[in-house]
Amino acid sequence: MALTKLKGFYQPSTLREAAGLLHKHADNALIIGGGTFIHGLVARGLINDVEYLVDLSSLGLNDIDVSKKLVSFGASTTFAEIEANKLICESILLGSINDAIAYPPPQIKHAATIGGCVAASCPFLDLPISLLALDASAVVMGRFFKRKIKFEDLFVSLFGHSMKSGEFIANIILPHPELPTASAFQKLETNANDLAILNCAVRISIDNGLCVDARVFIGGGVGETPFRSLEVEQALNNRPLSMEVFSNAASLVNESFDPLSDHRASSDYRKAMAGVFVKRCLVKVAERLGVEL
Amino acid sequence: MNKQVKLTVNGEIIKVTIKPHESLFDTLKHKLELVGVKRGCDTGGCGCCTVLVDGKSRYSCMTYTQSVESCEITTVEGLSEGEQLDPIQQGFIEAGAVQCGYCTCGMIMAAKNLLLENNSPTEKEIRKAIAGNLCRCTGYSKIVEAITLASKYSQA
Repeated sequence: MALTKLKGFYQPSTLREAAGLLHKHADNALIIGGGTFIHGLVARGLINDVEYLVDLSSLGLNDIDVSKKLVSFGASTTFAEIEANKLICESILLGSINDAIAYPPPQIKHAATIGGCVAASCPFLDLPISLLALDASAVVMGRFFKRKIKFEDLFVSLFGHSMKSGEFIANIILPHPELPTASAFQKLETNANDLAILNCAVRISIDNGLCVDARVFIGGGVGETPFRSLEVEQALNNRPLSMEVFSNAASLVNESFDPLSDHRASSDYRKAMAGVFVKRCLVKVAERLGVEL
Repeated sequence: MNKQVKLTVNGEIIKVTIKPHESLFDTLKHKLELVGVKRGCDTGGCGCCTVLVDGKSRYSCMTYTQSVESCEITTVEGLSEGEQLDPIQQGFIEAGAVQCGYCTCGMIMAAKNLLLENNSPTEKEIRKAIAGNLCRCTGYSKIVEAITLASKYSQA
């Protein structure tokens, strides 16, 4: 861990203290959630100029709250804490979260936090895609006020987010729709510790047997920011949940999807896999909603 | 910029001076000379540096020492009680689950985390529990066998 310019490691115990520290050292400070992502950046020499590390794990931001209208996660909630929460595990609405956190090994689950995973703004990660499908927002704290940023407005570029310098994520919130709603997440990877070659999350509500408010996102290094497939969503909305509808919708994913090529997979391969993974998610969602296909 | 911290390692309270960016791996291996932790990939992928923090497995290479000041840290050196080996250590010996040995300490700590949570795991649960630990020699079969043996000893 060669952060050679580091002058201090802070562990604030109140939100106010954290906001003050981040304001004071705005451009030279880096926030740590679980430290798992930062470690990779440090090891690759990508963040050598950091002078202060601010560890937010002592702020007590690890409450999980499931109400009729809203689901809320404190930013410091670890994957293991989410996994251990019965209300979350049993929720079909939150299926995509449960699917996504089932992938990493225990050592990561015990350290990685939901807030850190989101704030990293790394398009290769899994949980942000599953939260995007759930229409999540980040409650962001600054020194003087807090504000809500929808995830679609949060991720702006590779490792780039729309939070201002000195701001940090305090909570992740998402709506609890009144209609029966379920979600699912699937990942294409080569081993248990791998970043996704492609990942996909889907959320669907049903109204009188018809699919409504479909949300379909694809991520995992397919571009600088996650991709939302409006074509697939349109092909699902106001139609019954059936294999035929799912196959047709999934086949439309490549209409405007143009993933990047890298040393792990070509654009063509990612395109070929996108439809497969969208369909797998759709089938899983139908299963969770108790709809026979 | 160095700071003195008080760590609880294998049940002992130890004062140690650390750099602000020091990893738990460096503190354990180089300051406390607990050589069971191994440096493998150093990017949180191979599992050789696995230790328990408050009973939960963590990659010590990506854990800042300062962030675990108030936690109980357990390394492989803290498992046996005198001459009495931990059931997992015994299982590894009996199943012949060690070849070059580089992954072994991390593998044992990952297994310890599993058996603390579930003392009769299925083979699938064992494989999932060691998914974050790489072994390039054994092909994992003997390791799974060792952990299965250990779970039986733990129940006895």
